[in-house]
Amino acid sequence: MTATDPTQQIFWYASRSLGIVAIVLLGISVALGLTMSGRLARRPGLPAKVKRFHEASTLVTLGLIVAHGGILLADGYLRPGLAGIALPFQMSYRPFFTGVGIIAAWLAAILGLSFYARRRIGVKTWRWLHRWTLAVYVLALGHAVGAGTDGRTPWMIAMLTALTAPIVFAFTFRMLPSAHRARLQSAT
Amino acid sequence: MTREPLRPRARPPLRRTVLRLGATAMAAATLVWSGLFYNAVAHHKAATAVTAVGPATSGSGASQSSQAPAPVVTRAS
Repeated sequence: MTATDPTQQIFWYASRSLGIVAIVLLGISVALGLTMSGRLARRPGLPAKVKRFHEASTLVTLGLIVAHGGILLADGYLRPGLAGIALPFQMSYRPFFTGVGIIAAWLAAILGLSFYARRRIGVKTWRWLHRWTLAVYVLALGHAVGAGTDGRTPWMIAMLTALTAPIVFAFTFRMLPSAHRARLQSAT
Repeated sequence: MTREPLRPRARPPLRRTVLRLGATAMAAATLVWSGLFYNAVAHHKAATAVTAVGPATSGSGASQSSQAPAPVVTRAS
């Protein structure tokens, strides 16, 4: 992609940069969600702040995902078309991993926005659905590494590792039996 | 003199947090875009400079590689 004049690929670079910021914010949002469910933030007033930031970061991430795909419609180099950005495995550019990204985007929209329908679908169903958010992050990670032009560059690998480490920690903590978790929390 | 009771601090509404975070995200995206674009332009310039040298002919009639970024000095015997 670097052989062509970069000035003809302004939207392509914009899409890439929006995708990079989107995955960073998605990682932060997932980490905050796990922090809340694992009750890692216990200082008075902190859980409310974490909750607000979790909700806000999810909404901004969804906006960035829409912009990440939508801006490609203006790209004269890739020309993916509406089907290419909305339907999985339809794009000619790295179809498998772009498809994975599109699935992740749809899942993110459904799972993220299900919060506002939790009264209608029931809190229990919403909680069950919300657990799958972690799958969105894993799919997005696969998309970033497999389809991203910068996916295998050392800086991207370092950034994704730094982003994933707190998620792995918070998820492991969340998966501990509640008695064990309480013992660890009282020890700190 | 009586002290006024402490009022709970009002939390900023969600909309404000979303707007702030959105603005930060857009600033970050612009920075990343600048980095990627600058890098691509630099690569493109370097590639163009190499190809602009083109196939040159030395005094002995041998053709130099178009990939060579610097002129090759041959020893005149």
